[in-house]
Amino acid sequence: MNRLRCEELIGLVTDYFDDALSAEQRHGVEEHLAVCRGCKQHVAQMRVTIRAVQGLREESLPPPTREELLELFREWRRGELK
Amino acid sequence: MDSLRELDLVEALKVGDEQAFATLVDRYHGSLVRVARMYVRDGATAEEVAQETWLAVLAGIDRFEARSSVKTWLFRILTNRAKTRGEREARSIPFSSISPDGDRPAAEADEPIELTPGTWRSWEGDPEERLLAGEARELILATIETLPPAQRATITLRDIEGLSAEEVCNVLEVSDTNQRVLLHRARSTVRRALERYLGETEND
Repeated sequence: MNRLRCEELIGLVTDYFDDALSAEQRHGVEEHLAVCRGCKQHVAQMRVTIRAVQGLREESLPPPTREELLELFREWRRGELK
Repeated sequence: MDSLRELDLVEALKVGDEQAFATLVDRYHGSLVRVARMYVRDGATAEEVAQETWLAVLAGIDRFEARSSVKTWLFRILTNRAKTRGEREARSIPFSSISPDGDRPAAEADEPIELTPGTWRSWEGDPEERLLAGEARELILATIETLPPAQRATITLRDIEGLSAEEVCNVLEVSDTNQRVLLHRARSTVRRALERYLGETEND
């Protein structure tokens, strides 16, 4: 079987995380990662990157906005909104 | 989220149940504003676009059918509106720059292949902790804002808001393959930005 090159592996990382690879591709990726430290680190960095981006999610609603939206809803229910 | 419950909420909304509306607002409004913010100039405009989205939802609630999820429906309305608004602000290029056949990557395709192996440094330990503690938060936001619109939308929906791949395909109306290409490019750009950042701060 053809050995996966590093550039190819890098292109497959997202598919790999999403479990969107064929069994053969997946096997190739895992085999490569077992022996290539650079790619292993790259994959680890991608995981950190994803978690850092996920960390941007936060913040709850400021109450005025919520109240404003509920007021809009009441207007809509009364048929005042077209 | 359990979609069964969400369908109940829609039914309740149709008969004017305020609690149902409040539940949806609590669940999604913050996300809607954040996603809108990726398209438009400022927070106030993003808030406005999110509000318009709720009005559109109420106006269209009787026509809502359970074919798509409430979440997908909301984000689709939102992204369409935010996109239009952003284009009007002349901040974005049209979303239609995704090629029509849907499977081919957009024009932003031609990025250089990443570094050769061996130059990749380990982020284990201190760098990882710093990044996950939110130290590079502003940098990540700024990097995402400079991405081409389709990539920006994809990484925002997938990684920040936590939509599934399938949901993102439905919201943005792109193929599964294209979705992953867009996500991959977006994440790669953020990774490179973080790498540069770590390199710079290390020398301080």
